Amino acid sequence: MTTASTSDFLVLDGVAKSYGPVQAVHDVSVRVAQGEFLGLLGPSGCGKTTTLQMIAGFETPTAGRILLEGRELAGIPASRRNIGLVFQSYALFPHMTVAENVAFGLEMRRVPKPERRARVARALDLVHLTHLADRFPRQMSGGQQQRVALARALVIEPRLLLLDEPLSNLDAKLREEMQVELREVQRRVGVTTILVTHDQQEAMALCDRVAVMQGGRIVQIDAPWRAYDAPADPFVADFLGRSNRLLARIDGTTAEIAGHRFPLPEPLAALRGEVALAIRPERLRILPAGQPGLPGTVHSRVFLGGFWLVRVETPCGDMLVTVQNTGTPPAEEGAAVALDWDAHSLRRLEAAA
Amino acid sequence: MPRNDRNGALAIGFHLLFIAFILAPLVVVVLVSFTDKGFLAMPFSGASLRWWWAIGDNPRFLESFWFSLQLAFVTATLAALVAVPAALAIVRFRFPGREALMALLASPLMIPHVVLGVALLRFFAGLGLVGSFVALAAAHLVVVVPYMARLVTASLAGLDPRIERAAESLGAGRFAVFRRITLPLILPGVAGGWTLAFITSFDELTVSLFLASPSATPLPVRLFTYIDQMTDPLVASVSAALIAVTAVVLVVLDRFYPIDRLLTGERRA
Ligand SMILES: Nc1ncnc2c1ncn2[C@@H]1O[C@H](COP(=O)(O)OP(=O)(O)OP(=O)(O)O)[C@@H](O)[C@H]1O
Ligand SMILES: [Mg+2]
Repeated sequence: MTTASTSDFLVLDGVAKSYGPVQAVHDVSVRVAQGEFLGLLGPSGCGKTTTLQMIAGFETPTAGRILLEGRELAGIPASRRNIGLVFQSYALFPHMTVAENVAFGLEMRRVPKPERRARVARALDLVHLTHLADRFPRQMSGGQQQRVALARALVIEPRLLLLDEPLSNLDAKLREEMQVELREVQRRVGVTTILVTHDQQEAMALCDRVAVMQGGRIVQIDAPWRAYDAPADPFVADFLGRSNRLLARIDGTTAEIAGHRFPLPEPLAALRGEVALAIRPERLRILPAGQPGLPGTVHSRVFLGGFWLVRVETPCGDMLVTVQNTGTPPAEEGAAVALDWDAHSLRRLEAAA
Repeated sequence: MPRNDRNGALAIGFHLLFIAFILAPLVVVVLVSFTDKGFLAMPFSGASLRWWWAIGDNPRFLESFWFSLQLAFVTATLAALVAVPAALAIVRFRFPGREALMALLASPLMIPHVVLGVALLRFFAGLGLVGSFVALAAAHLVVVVPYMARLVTASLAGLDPRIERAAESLGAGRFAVFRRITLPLILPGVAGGWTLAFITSFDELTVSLFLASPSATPLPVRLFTYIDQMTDPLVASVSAALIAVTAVVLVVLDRFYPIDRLLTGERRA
C-alpha cells in the first residue's frame, strides 16, 4: 500500500462534475490532513453535496482525481471505500432498531457476533443513546436520529467521515448542543472529517479549516478565524459573518470617506484612487456626536443578549455595529453619533487586481 | 382540526348506503347458500347445510376449486417475480426503452378482456397449449402484472434512495442492499400486490373461458358453465366458498401486514 504524508490524507485534484449542460462542480482541489476537521461551506446549489457524493463514490467525477491515503478512488465502489456518510435526512433504516441500524455495517464486514455487540454498545455510548438501543427510528426525535446516524457511520471505523448538513433539521438550541458533541466525538475518535454546511457559524465553530465554495469552485480555504479576518473577496467577506462597506478615495497614507479623512494601515497605503473597503461590525466604535469620526444617526438597536446590534445611518450608507452588553444600553434610536475604528481593522474588498 | 375529523350526518348516511349497496348481494348469496329448498329463493324458511355438503358430492367443483387455488398461487408468485425487477429498473434507473417498458406493463389494463382472451386463444392454439395449466397461468399473468407493477412501483417510489446509499456506504454490495434494505421496505407493497393478483386470478372468468378445457377448468368457469345448465342453490354455496377464500386471504395478509398500513410502508407497530 502506498503511504502518503499525513498532510495529504485526502487529495482532490482538479475535480469537476457536470450533469449534461449543468456544471455542478468546477475544478475543486483540496488537500486534507489526517485527523483534520474540514468545513465545506457555501450557499445553496454551490456544489457541496455533489463534491461529497463524489468522495463517497455515489457520483463519478467528469474530470480530476480523488486520492485517499495516496490511492486513487476511481473505480472503487462506494461499498468498498470504507467512508462513513451521514446524510442531511439521516437515512436511517426504518425497519431496523437503533442497535440493528448501528450493527449493519459490522454485519456487512462479517464481524463476529460478540465483537459486534460490544462495538455497537461502545458506539451508542459515544453518542449517549444506550438507553434507546431497542427503539425504531420513527420513535425518536430528530436529534436522537441524527446521533444514531453518526454512531452508525462511526462504528465501522471509517477512514473518512462525511457529514452532509447533519444538523440543519434541528432547532437552534439542540443544534448548538450537537455541535459541541460532534466536535468532542470527532476529537476522541480522531477520524478525518468533512462537514458540509451552509451555516457559517457552524463551520467556524467546528472546523480546523473552512473551504468556502461559490458556483462550484472553492474561493478560499483557511482557518476559520483567518478567513473571517482576511476574506479573499467580497463574497467570502459577506458569507462569513456581517461586513460593512466603505467607499474610500485613497491618496498617500490617508483615506477620504464621505468627506472625512482617516489613517490607512500599511498594506493599503500603497493604493490610489477609489477603493472599496470593508470593516466588521465588532471593529466599529460608537462615540458621542462631535468626536472625530464618521458622523451618523442611530437608526435602530436590537438587543441580542451578549451584545447589541446597532444600525447607524451614515453618509456612506447604513453601518452595522456590535456593542458588547456591559449593562448600559448604547446610544438611543435617533441619537447623533460618530463612528470610529482602528486603521488596521480596515480590509480591502475588491479581489487583488 | 376536530371539526374535519367528523363526518356530517349526510356523509355518514351516504357511506352506509354505499356499503350496503356493495355488500347486500354478497350477504344474499351467503344467506341463500344455507337454504333447505331445492331452488334459489329469498326469504326462505328452513336452514340447512345441504348445499354445502352438495359441494363435496360434486367432485368437479372440488377439482376446479383446487385448480383455481394453485393457478392463483402460481400466477401471483410469477407476477411478483416479473414485477419487482421491472419496477426496480423503472424507478431506479434511466435507460433507453424505459417509457416503452412502462407502457408495456400497463397495456393489458387498456385491452378489453374479451379481446385479450381471443388473442391469447390464437397464440396458445399456435403453440398447441390451449386447455393447459401453463396457458391459463400465462394468460392470468398478463392480466395481473399491471396491478402488481403499480403497487410495487408505488412503494419503491416512496422509498428514499438515500437509505440504500447509506447501506452501500456501510459496505453492503448491490445484492445485500436489495435483500436487507430494499426488499424488506417494499414488502408491504409486494404482499399487497401478491394478494391482489391472487384474488384477481382466483376469480378471473373472461380470459379463462377462452383457454379452459375439461381437464383444466378454473372454478369461475365451472360455475359459469354450471349455471348455463341449471340454477340450484349449489351455485350460492360455491359462490359463498369463493367469498370465504378471498376473505381468508385478506385476513392472513392483514396478520402479516395490516392492510390499512399497506401504503405507509411501515412494518411493525
Ligand atoms: N442529478 C443532478 N442532475 C442535474 N443537476 C444536478 C444534479 N444534482 C445536482 N445538480 C445541480 O448541481 C448544482 C450543485 O448541487 P449540489 O446538490 O451539490 O448543491 P449544494 O451545494 O449541496 O446545495 P444545498 O446547500 O442546497 O444542498 C446545483 O445547481 C444542482 O441543481
Ligand atoms: Mg446539499
